[in-house]
Amino acid sequence: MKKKQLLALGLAAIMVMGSLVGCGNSGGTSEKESGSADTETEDITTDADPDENQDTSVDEEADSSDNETAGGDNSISGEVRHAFWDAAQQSYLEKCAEEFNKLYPNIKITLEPNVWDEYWTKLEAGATGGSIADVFWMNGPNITKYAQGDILMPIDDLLESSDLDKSNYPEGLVNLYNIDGKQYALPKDFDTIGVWYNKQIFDDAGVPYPTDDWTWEDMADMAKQLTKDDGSVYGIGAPYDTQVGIYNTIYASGGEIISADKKSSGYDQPETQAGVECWVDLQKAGVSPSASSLVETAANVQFLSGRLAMYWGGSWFLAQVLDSDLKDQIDVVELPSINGKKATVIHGLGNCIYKDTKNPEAAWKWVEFLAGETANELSAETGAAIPALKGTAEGWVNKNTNYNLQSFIKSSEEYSYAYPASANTAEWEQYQADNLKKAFNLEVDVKEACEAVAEQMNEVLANE
Amino acid sequence: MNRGKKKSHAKEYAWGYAMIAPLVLGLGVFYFYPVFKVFFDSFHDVGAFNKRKWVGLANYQKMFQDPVMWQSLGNTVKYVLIIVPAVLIISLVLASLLNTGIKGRSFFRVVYFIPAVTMGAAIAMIWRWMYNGDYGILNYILNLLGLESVQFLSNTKTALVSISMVSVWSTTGYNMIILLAGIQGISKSYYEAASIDGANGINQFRHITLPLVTPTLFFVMITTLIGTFQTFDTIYMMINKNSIAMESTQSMVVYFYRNAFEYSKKGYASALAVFLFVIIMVITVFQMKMQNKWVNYE
Repeated sequence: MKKKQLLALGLAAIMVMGSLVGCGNSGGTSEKESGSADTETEDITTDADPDENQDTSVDEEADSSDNETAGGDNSISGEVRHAFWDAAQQSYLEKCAEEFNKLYPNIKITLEPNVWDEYWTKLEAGATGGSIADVFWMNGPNITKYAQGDILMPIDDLLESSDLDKSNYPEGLVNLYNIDGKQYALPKDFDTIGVWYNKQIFDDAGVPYPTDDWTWEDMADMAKQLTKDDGSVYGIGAPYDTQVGIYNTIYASGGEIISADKKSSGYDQPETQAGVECWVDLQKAGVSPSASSLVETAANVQFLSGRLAMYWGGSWFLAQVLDSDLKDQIDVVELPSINGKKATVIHGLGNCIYKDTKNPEAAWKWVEFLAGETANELSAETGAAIPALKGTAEGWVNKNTNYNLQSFIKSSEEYSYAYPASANTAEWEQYQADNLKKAFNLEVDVKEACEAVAEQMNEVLANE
Repeated sequence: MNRGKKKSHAKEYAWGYAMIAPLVLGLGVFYFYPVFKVFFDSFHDVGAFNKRKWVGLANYQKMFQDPVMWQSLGNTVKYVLIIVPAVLIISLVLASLLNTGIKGRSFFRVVYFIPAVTMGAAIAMIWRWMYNGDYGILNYILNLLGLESVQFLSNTKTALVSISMVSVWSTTGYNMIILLAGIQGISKSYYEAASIDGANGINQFRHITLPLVTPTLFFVMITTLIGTFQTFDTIYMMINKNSIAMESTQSMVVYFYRNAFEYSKKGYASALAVFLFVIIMVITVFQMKMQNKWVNYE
């Protein structure tokens, strides 16, 4: 009796362990999966290429005097892993790698696509454990953290000896990647925000299209006229969002998210609160799907399925528009002014190099190439993003003349504000989201929510 | 003679240890080491890229004053109270039904077991779409019946129950198979004797099957309970971090994850993990003690 009981207990314990190990295994396989995803990631030197390389290398061995006639620089070799998150830019990067391999046939570029939601978690884990990609996309909210965490390779010296010139890129964005006097990346692209709208819905409702000189009141008014009572069409999407939402209206209202010295939150200022309030007012007016509906099905998806007449989106949204069935009935317009003032957030990504990369030379050559003219032109051509190099942005505009894309260039030049960031941006942005979502769901008052943000944000900033 | 025996014993031991080494090493690297590391980290302030600073018991003090922690613990208890009984009852009923001679029972065994061999993430993705407040099939059916749409996953009143249902759905099949094995291990002679005495199916179930399957039931209960306390993937996959229902659905493990990876407070997160570990440990020990009261070992 006793023995059996013990046996059962032991068995239970083993099985519990087993289930735990099972967990571990599944964790392991998921890692493996991502590992295999890595190997599956478009191997840019396509199957045919290595053979060709082999052939040429055999030839070269046959008469080694011909070494340089292959047309590229064979002296640098190695693998460069490049992590990024935007699937829409995959083909642009593939083309870049192709061009790059013409110059440096012995450098193998391996693209590692990620999902936005997991990118930063994975990147930080990789940086801590040393398995991080050699080159990876960086953004404004995270650059300070990574630079001060000593993960990135400064490129000042490399820039000196290169043909690249910092002054050929938007100054605000170059400075975004300059931390404590050291340059860590050049901007690869830039983006600003506009209002994308569905012309068909405007036509059906007999509402004239918005123009670049419109105001927030015009927009709210149109949204009301465009909303159908049965919930099949809403005038606008008003989700809780930062870069394509409140950040723009906060600046336009004369407020700030974070003080210039990055020591305190701007959420206790009435102007900042007004920039949030105007969105919540759209929710109250019922001209947008509810905030939770927009969480369950994101605003861009609802817009592209024809449920929203207007959608605030970045210039990067163009790629999705071009991919959609509605591409012929969509256009874009500048953001509306608030009390006569316009503002858009400007942001741009940079390609950073891991400081302990095994192939620093190859990694730099790749980054240098991506900052150069060929890559910027490819970016314009594929419509992936507005290239940051001076003179190449026009290519992006002219590529798709059906849309009012000039508005993004104009706003970047006339009224753009750098993306607000400090060392622990991701943390206080999470507190910001936790509190403001309650205001967007009409559960708490905007003022109350903003003051809670200010308090928690100041706590984070005090520890920086 | 004696010595030779000892020697051969030593050799046997060596072989035995060699055989279990892979598993023990695996456990050591992936379980025991992290467990100690988490314990160690819980006394530190762990910043970005694992920079540590000793803070003593500060994380624990903060934890017990954190209302969100208590809410997450409360949610976890709710999950346990909903999921564990539901899984036990449904899987036991299914197992006894599938033990009878009904037609197509192998087919049904496979059908019920399929969720167990499906990835949790895939299950959560599919259910998230079925539950979708605007485009989900469940709301489509509700609308056909003339009812209002429900935002299952965004409404703080329905979200937790909706997630629990997915968990029940996906874990029942596995537990059913274990219970089925337990039921089949019961000697046929009991049933024969009972039917001679004129006991019907329900009486047989109550007085033979149920008491004799308790050892298996006990095992299923402990594993389901531990699994439910550690609920993570369904919630993580189904609830967007900006969802209004996040606070009212997040389990301790989700709250741990968010602290570790979204708020970058790994030290505090470690303290949460240690606390959860202690809770599960206490409950499991309690259950082990209680088993004498209701588990029958033949």
